[in-house]
Amino acid sequence: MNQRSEDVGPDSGAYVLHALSDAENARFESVLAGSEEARAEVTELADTAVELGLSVAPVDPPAALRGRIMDQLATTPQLAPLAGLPASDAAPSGSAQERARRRWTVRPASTLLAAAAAVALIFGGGVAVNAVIQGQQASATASQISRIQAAADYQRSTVHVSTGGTATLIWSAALKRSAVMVLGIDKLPGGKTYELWYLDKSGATPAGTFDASGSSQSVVLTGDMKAGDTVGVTIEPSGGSRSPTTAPIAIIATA
Amino acid sequence: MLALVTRDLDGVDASSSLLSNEQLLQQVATGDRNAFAELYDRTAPRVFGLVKRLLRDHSQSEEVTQEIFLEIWQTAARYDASKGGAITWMLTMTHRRAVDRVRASQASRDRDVRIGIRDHAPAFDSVVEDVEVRIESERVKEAMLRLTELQRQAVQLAYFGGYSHREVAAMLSVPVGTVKTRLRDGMIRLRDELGVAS
Repeated sequence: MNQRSEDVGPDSGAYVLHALSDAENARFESVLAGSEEARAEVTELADTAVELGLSVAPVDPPAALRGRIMDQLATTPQLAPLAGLPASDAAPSGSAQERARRRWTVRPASTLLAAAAAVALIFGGGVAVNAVIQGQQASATASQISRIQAAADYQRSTVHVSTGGTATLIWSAALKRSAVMVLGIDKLPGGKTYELWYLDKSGATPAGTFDASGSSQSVVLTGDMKAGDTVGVTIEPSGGSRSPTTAPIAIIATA
Repeated sequence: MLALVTRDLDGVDASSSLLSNEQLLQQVATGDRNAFAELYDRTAPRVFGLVKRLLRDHSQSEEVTQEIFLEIWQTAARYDASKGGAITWMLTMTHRRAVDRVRASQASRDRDVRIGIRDHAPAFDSVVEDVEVRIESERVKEAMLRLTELQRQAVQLAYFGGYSHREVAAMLSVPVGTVKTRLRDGMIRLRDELGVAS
């Protein structure tokens, strides 16, 4: 297991220990960009550095710090996921090579932050945008979501999706609108789609379909929401069904 | 047929305490302050402990911890669970931020020295000793013992002291190139001893 490739060069250890100068850091990141082997090594060594961090005894911070940080959240804007990043379709585990590939397909954080500023901050009030930003479709979705979030009776609820991930429903009964934000749900095989439903005592009304194109996505439901409706998600044949043909993978009550 | 099913599959709003750190971080990305508060309560002692080890100064450690948690809030959407655990992501950020602060204070201290203010930096020997005794985990301590003395001192000064490889080279009186090699060999050895490699 004692792999030590000469091709990677000597900087990987200093890099994960944050011991390089800025110029050396930049130079090594360009090496990383071109070498899968270097990325794999750095991923493992960075995880090893975290072990060192975990070996330090925890120290309780002063109680007042928590309040100070919580107070600042309202005025601290959150960044959206960067548009155009490759969707993450792999399981959380995997070989170091796989994890390394995923970890290093993004550019350095500073570049990401600058680029992201352009697509972030669609919503006021410190609420995160978690939409996949894709042209007009996305901006229409975003403006509808911001209307819901601005409503006086805006509410939200989060549930686990039984096949993995979470679904957050936001809604305003006054606007008769709701939207679902999904995080970390599976990409479906060809021929299948996720379908949303408004459910009441009389049955299920179709409320639109979506495909999990990224690790997070927002969808505004079609049709009117009635107070007390429950929202369900099922997996259906492509194009959607008129009534559910499978058991729901998520159910979110609004009452 | 799906009629109204009243049983909530798995409501989590009132009980973010049931979520994993990774799930909490994904919730934080949606602007969920309760999830953020829960994540803070779980991880703040780890973050603060590591920052304090590097900075020592209490009020600076508080400031940096605050910066770190606000960065977590800002960039939670960039966290991708497929790339590693939440703690890995957070402690990597923590170490980078703490080292940045060490360097910034050093720069101002160097400036102070240049304009004639006395340098309070401790002697190198006592720094090496101080960093040496700072590991609590038996597992990591044992793995550290498998390193050569030079590897161990270099890794400890860099990680726990926040020193650059040039400073480490000066402290240990070895060439810069040698320190880089020792840091890499030391980390590879630690990786293997700790079973981090997959």
